Amino acid sequence: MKRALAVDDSATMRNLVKIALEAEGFVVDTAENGKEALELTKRNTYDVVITDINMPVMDGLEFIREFRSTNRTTPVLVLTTETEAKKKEEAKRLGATGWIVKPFKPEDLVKVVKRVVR
Amino acid sequence: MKYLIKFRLGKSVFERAIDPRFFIEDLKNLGKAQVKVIKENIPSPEEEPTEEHCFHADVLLETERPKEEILELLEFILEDGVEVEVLEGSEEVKEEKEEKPKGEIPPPLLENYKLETEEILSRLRSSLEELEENPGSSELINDVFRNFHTLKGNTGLVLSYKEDESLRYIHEITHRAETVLQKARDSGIGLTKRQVEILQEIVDRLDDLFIAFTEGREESAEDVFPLLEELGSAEAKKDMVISGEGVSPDISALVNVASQYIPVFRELCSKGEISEEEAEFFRRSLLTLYKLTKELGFEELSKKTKELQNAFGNVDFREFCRSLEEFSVELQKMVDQRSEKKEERKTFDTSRYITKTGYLKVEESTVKDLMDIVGELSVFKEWIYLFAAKLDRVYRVPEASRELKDNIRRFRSLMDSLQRTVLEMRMVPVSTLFERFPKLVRDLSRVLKKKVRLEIEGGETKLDKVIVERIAEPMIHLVRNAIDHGIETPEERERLGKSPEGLVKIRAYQEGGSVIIEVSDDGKGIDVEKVRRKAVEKGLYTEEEISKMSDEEVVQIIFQPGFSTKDQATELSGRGVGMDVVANTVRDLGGDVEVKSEQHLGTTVKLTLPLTLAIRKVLLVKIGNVTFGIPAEDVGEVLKVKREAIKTLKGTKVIYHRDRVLEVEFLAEKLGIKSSVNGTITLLVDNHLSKGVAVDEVVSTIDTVVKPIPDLIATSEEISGITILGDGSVVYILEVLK
Repeated sequence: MKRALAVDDSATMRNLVKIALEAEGFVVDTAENGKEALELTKRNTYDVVITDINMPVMDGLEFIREFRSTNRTTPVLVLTTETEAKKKEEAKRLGATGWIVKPFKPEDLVKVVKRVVR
Repeated sequence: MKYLIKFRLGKSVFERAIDPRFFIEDLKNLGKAQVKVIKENIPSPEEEPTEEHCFHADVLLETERPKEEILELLEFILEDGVEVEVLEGSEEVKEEKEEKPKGEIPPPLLENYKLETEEILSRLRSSLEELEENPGSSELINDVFRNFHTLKGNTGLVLSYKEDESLRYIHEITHRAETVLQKARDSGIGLTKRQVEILQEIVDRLDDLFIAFTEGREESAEDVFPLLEELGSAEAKKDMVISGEGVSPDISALVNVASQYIPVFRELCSKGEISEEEAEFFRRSLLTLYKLTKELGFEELSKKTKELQNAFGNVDFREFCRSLEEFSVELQKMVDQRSEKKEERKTFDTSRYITKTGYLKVEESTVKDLMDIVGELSVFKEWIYLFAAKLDRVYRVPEASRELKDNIRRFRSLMDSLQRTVLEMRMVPVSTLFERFPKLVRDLSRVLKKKVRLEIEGGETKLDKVIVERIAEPMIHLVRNAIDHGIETPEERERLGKSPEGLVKIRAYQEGGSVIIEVSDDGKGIDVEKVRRKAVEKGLYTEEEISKMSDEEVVQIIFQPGFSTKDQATELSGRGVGMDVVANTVRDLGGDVEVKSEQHLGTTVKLTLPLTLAIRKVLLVKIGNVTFGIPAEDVGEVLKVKREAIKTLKGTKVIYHRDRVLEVEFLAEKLGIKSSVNGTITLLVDNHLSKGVAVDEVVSTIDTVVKPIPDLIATSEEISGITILGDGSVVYILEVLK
């Protein structure tokens, strides 16, 4: 059983990720911001974390920085938009494994996740 | 096709939890692949990646897949040292067919989108309200940015399933607004007051578009683009211009230009002779008109402008003026039509302002059922108490009775929290209703040409959802009234020495078991004499009756059916509900409405509403040997008084209490029941210290579900409902203190 964590302040996005990955047999936890996500990653081990960048409380970049300071093995995918090229680079520098450009369909997400999770 | 893919990966990929071998496997799945690993030193999970770690390999791949697909597959590591060479076959990029989404939006996604969009728009509204006060706050700007950003993302997602014009607009508008906001945020300069205003207008229009989408209507939002333009250019002074995304000219631009030019045309033509400067004006204005009409597709008008351009200077000036006048008339007609259309859009469909909260995803009927069950349970709780007593007295097993009683305590506290929780489920903050008022006020002040500032207080106060929904329309009416009838025009206000900007204040707070909502304005107040005259004219009161009434009493007449003081029904007050409907709605909910007004100072309408409709606190009282219930929220005080303290004044029984004279009513007499006390009387006093009712004794207070009595069998106005006690007995609820 694979376990994923979806982090986004938008419930629509969170649920889309959840629905898409659950259909692939993942167990999906969700968090509304980086801080919640960090708490969850301390308690659970995930096979992949999928996070938005712009979020209140703690944004995705800050989350990746914190998360990577203790974990170098879990792939982290960021959800970005076309206009966020700089943020994407920054996320990569901080240790993001890959990215998926919004808007995306469930099948696109699954394709990308499968590239980094075995 | 034959490809050579070179992997020259180092530390940078391992720092990102990438295993390059996954990519090799994926490549193998594409076709025939030969893998030659040159150097492999992949860190173990516990190891910190260093410069020593690497993965070097060459892959020779034979496949039918195009190069883009391979690049896409390797997207995450391309920049880390992967090269794709085409050895055989053409590198031509195949024209990618853009898929036009035509599918259906999956229902859960759509539902999510709708709920969240409502939330986003409401958050945007409140953040922008705050920004109005503090336009420099980077935190707030970031908030607003994020909400636009999320809305854009979500909308894009829905659009990828299904094309929709309104959503397309939402997507485009949020995208542009986001760009400007991002700059404002990153530059640290903040926003101007005007920019915040524009953003509010944009949010209003996004709301319109969203509603159009949910209703399956198409709505154009071309009018938003000039706003976006202004939003960007307001900032451009400080920063660079946003890249030229060709903003299509709006009809309103033509309308504006035309209404400015036409009077000048007429004035100049009336002169008969013009200066060179004025001639230049003709040339320039005609050119502008030509461009605008042409771009907007007004063939006829554009052709005429061209003719006029040619005629100018070549024909007699008077002749030119005649043609120009003809043209102006036509243009004016178009302008008038347009402005009419604009006005039309601003008429008030109250449903647009009524918020349905999106948080409760449970069927409301389910919550109601749950509520009923809890109600029955609390009745059952009473029964257990009675049974415990019976165990002792009737069945003579005091031990069992004691044990049961001890445990009931736990049961009761659980019951109480269950009841509270279920009640809580039905409660929503009144802000869900209030948040639409800023827009309502803005729209109304625009239409009525008044300047109004809106203050909202206590939005976090919670009320039963049903009540919030039911008072939505009356509240809109009150706000509308305050602006339409209360607030004076800016000119009039200045003449009166008031600030030209009127104030409408909405305030909510909890007071005991009730929630108070006040709508006040600092306008002209209610003309009491006019109300007196009108009340007599309409035959509501006789001359004599009205002369005996205090001003305070007289103003309450506005809540009576068939009363309206406005001489001429305006477009706004002419439709929808009247003050009597406001009063009826509130009273039907078990609340009360009251108005206070002072001429030239303003009017305050105060709605007193019960917290919830479901469970009411009821005082059980005894009269003779019959038990009745009296709603606890009606009772201000309970007094024990000696019978002698009650005096007779002009044939009415009264009592002096706290320096007031209270009228006393003996319920026993009224109901024709023989009272069982004579010495000391228990008196229930209402909230306003205006009257008291005498009962024999107060038994207890219970929380209970009050069921209304069907009209058919209701025989007395005082009996408002019934409730069933734990022992199964039926108790009438008396509204004697209302």
